[in-house]
Amino acid sequence: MLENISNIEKESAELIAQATDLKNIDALKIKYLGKNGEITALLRTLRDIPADDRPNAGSRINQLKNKIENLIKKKQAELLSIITDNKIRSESLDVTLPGWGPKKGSLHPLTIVMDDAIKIFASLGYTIAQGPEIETEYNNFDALNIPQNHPSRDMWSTFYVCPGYVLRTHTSPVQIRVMKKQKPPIRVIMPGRVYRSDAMDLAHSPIFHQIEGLAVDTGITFGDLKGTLSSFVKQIFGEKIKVRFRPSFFPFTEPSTEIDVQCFVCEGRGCRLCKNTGWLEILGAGLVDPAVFKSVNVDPDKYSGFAFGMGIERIAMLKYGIDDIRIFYENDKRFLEQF
Amino acid sequence: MKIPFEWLKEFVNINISANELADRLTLAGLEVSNIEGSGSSVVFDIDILPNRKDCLSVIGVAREVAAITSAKLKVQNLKALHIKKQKNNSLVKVDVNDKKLCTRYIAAVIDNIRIGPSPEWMQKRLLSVGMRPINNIVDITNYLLVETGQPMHAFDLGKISGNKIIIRKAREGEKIKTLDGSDLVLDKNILCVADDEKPVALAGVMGGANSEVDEKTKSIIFESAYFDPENINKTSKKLKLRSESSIRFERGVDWVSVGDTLQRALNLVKQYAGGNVRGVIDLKSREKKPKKISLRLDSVYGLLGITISSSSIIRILSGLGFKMVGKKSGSFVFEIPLYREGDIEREIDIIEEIARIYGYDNIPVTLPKTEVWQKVSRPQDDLIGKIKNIMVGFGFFETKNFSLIDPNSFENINMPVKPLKITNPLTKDNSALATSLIPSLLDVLKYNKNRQINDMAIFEINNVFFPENNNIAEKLCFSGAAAGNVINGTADQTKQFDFYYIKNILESVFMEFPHVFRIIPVKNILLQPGKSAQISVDDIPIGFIGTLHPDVAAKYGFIKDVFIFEIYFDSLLNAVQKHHKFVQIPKYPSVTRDVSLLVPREITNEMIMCKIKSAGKDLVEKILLFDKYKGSQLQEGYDISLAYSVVYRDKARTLTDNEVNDLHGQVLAALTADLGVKLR
Repeated sequence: MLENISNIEKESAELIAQATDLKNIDALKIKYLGKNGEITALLRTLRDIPADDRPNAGSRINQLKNKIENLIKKKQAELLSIITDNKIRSESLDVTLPGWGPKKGSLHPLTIVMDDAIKIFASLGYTIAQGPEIETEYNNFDALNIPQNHPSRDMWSTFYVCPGYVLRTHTSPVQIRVMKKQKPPIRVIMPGRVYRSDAMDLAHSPIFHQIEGLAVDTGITFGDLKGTLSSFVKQIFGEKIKVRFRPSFFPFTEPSTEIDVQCFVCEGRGCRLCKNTGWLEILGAGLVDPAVFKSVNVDPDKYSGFAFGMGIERIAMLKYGIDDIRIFYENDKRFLEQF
Repeated sequence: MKIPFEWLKEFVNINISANELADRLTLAGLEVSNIEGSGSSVVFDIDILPNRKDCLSVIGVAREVAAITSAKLKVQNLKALHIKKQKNNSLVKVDVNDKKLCTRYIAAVIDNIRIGPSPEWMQKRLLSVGMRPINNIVDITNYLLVETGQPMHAFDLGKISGNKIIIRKAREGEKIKTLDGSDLVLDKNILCVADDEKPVALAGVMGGANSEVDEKTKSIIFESAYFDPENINKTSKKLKLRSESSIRFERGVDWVSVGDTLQRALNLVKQYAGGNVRGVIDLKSREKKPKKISLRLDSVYGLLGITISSSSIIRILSGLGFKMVGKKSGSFVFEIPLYREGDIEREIDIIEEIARIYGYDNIPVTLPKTEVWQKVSRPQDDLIGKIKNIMVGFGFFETKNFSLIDPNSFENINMPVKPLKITNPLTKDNSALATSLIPSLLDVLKYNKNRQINDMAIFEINNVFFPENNNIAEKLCFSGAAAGNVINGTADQTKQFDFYYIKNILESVFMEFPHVFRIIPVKNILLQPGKSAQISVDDIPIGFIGTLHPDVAAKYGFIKDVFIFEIYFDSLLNAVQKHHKFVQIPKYPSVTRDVSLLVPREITNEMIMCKIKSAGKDLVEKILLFDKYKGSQLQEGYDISLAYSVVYRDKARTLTDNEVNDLHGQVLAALTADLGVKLR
């Protein structure tokens, strides 16, 4: 009996030490410690030996069982760590190789600037309104206090689609559409594509984008216009930018103003970008002209409002330092992927 | 307009530097865009706004300077000799035939003048404002045009037939050679100045060569008039002829200055060209009186958001020459000088003047007081934004293209709908309204390919324009094109764009919609047969996806396959609601069974999926294609081997193995019986 135990002890220690993978170890575990394993067999033979010897033999068998268990655990851990080491060694990467899968594309810079502007006005309670690009001559001009055969109409060079219809020269006709449909209070922002029959050059494009805004309510003042647009300009160009309100003329606003920001290239000293004026024109605005209110049946004695408009290309050019408007429409990948 | 500093000083005292004056003018609405020269030769270049015709002269700008610097206007220089008026029966007879288009016409006849150069100081001033000195008579008219803003014209009396001046509409087809040498054909809406034979000037626009003052001229007729602004504007546009004269007449000249300027001209002629005034004829079909406008203080406060004393208001307005002629509690009546006629017509126009002179920069900054509660963003705008971001995430670049394009680019690719041409295009390249974004996107790929950029995926969401029974429908279109490698610069063939890559992106986009989209094979002239599909929702086609037809690709010089898609989705966008309801995550386990099929050519994936769904009743939750094999190993008569995992689940209880086995058996039976597929 005891001899048997020491034989198993010796044999098992050798076999476990020789095991090279986890499968061997599992088999040895079954061989010695399994339900029908050798340890169980030894325990069964206990009843065949004299009662006095049994405690001693039983304890020896238990010791053997613990020893084999320990050896197996140790060997398992040893083999696992070899596997992990091998995995680590064999799978080591050159982490400087490129990532896998498609790289992101990008939004067009005009979309980015337009979205920025919309977001700022949305935070001030403005909602988006849109109108068609092919617009009636009436909405594009007459309703905005720009009569036919009046020199003020020459401010816009116009593409005609067919008699009575133009490619809108500004987003301002959307104001007319909104005010015809909606009663004050009104706060809308009107982004869109507009057309002018101006030849293409560094600064002009026959097709460009505008964003127009309109607020109509009781008690709206020129001060409100200044506050709203100063806040917008600072959010777009930064807290520190200097803003100037300069009287101007638009047939559909009175009083009218143009909003300049201090040139950020020369900081007001005068340079090529600002044509030595120290200022960059970025927005046109004014209080809604009573003639416009009349054309949409809003009582100018009860309500007042302000409207403003700006060219998105112009803002984008200033923001990103782009000096040629045409690059927006070339869609060169090397340009697009910068945004 | 160019305004010399020294000339300006003749009419107003200026105690500030040229630079400071320029800043003050700019902030009052007369934008000084440039300052030329220095010291006494400073010339301001001022952008005169379209409504400020009164500032198209040195005197006009001087009035403005006086108002913004509270200086006094020097009126003594405006004084003129008084010359006795003659009856309209002396040697020259003036006949204003069209009294509507010419409300005032003054003619002065001067004999025995000496034509010669104008004085040096006058020539210098003309040159400083960019005008070429010609002779004393012409120079005087030009000089006064700059000084007073009133255009005048001088005719050589010797060249006027019949000693007659007739202001009439031209006859259809009548011809005139103007002073700039152009030969013009007139029509019956054009006002002209004629003698008894022929037109001698285009009224208010330009003189005729046939009556030009030259070195031999002995007697002249000086003309100073008020022509109808609208008619001058029309004529100038029709003949594409703009002059210093027409830009002033079309805005309306100062009624008072029509007479004053002529008087001043006669003074200058006497001094610098000699001669005797034979007589002056002044024909008016009406009289003009200054307009009276009332101003409510409440409107001033309410619109500008400032508190300003009524005495300040009166001071500002009288500085501009507006005379207070009436007063009630809370309101005043002002008389507006005629030189502001047309510009200052209403209370709001006066309020603008107050704001301008008060200074926009002095108006306090506020925000609208009332809050407006409304939905800030519209679901469709949010969705477009989301779709753009999905595209960007899949490696697509957003592009912006012109909606005006070359109609040939449509013919090139056999687009079925002919684009609408606009009436007055600038160039042929931009003469038609796009009915599809595809031609522009292909142009972008070509543009980049020509710059060695061969791997590119692009999209655009923009309006296209369809001629539709006497109307033009603007439709929002979502289009894309991709060519080359998905991953830049890799040689791995499996990483090239292909039909299914693009399809997967669209399927991701479709997940944003509540609609069920179908992609089914359909022939499309733009697409390669067999790689061409229609996208539809509720059996209504809304777009296409496929490989660009090799013939079209060849026209663009594309060597690699180009994949394109186009979807019109404004009707879908409008149906999208912002809020959708959450669906409970299933509580009971699912059971999955796999099926591997040999599929004949005419059977599509979609047919198999539909069959599994219908045969599996409501218990089929999901069907996943997990293997696809196409090759020579396949049994004769079968085109492809497809393997699916079918996921069964009952939302209300746990399915038993037996139940699922039964159901799956029915599914397999239906597939083999109805579709002719074979189980592997």
